[in-house]
Amino acid sequence: MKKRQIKKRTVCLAAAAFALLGTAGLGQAMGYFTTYVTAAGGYPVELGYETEIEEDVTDMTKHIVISNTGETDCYVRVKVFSGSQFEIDFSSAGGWSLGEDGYWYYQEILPVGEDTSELLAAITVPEDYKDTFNIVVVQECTPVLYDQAGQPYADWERAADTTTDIGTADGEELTQ
Amino acid sequence: MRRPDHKKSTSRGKKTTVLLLGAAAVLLAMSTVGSARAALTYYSENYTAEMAMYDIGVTLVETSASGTKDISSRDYTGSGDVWKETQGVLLENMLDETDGKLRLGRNYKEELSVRNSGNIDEYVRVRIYRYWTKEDGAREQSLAPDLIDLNLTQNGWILDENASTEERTVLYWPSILPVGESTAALSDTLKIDSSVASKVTTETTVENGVTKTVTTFNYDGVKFNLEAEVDAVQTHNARDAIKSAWGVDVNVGDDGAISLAQ
Repeated sequence: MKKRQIKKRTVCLAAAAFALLGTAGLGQAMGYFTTYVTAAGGYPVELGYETEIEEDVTDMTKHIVISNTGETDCYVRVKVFSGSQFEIDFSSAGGWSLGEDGYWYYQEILPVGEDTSELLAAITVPEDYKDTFNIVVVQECTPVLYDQAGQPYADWERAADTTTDIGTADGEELTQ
Repeated sequence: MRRPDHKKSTSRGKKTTVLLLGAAAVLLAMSTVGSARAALTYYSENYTAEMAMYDIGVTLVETSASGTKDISSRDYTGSGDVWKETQGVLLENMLDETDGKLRLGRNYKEELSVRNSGNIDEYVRVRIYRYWTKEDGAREQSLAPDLIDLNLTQNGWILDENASTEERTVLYWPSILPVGESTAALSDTLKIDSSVASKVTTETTVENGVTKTVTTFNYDGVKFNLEAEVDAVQTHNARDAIKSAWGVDVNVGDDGAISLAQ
């Protein structure tokens, strides 16, 4: 009986000794040299594109000017729709060019708070025309995009547009 | 005659127990010898010099069009738990090349690299995070992180595809980074994809015979974010050290180069 106790004690002591030995090197094993750094950054994307059109009509000529009232620069274009019996002659002091799609494109980037030069649309009404009529001016703006080399361009496929539908020409009802 | 035998046996058992106790005490004493020796040599000149060799440190370096600068660093000072740390901001000079305005679709120069600013060689890895936040700071989940296009050079860096996600990119520098040396740049440009401007909502109103369509950009005001986390670990006992510090299994070549264990 005593022999058994002694054996049991011996085994326990041996186990304790090995456990102590095993954990003795634990501190060293956990102590690897490490370090770290972090950093972050970023910017908001401002897409506040907004333009307003101004159309003064004098002597049956629309004076079309577009203002950039948004928060970011943009490109603008204009198209004028009318009945086929009306003839419209366009002219400008510069900066506008007619595209194949019938839009007039303002060539320069329109900076925030600035206006385009005037695009003049002179409407010729047939002498025998007595009804009211609509001349619709559509103006659109689109963000200034950049290619990888940093060159600006407009992508009109993703145009954001604000459209004005002008009723009768300056509200006038034409009479002969 | 039987009685003396029994006594002999008991005394032998006691003797064994005492011997075992003695052995256990010796083993215990020996297990602390390493520490005791370290404690004894702690005050020696040799030991002090040795400690100075074990100062690990790392610095994140950024090169933009405005030049190169250290962004953040964390170097051990060699005493106690004292670290020499600097904390900077990424992309601070990014818009310098476009007069402070963010231009969608443009490639901005953004080279990120890591320098060993400590006193021991090390392995380094970088985790890059890209994400969008709304104006109130909450995450914008509907915009893809890919629209924040950090172009990776793959100039020696190992991409851990298993650990990378759409938002997180994990890169390992495979070689030992010697003291004072820098890695190759892991990226060269940053571009914010212009398609972020293509998502719009239109609202049309008619007033006094005038039809007005207002287009609102869905992501006006969202902020793009780029984060970098750099980790460094000792080269000694590299396999276990990397497993312990980073939780990844690596193979270590004879030249010290590491590769990810599959």
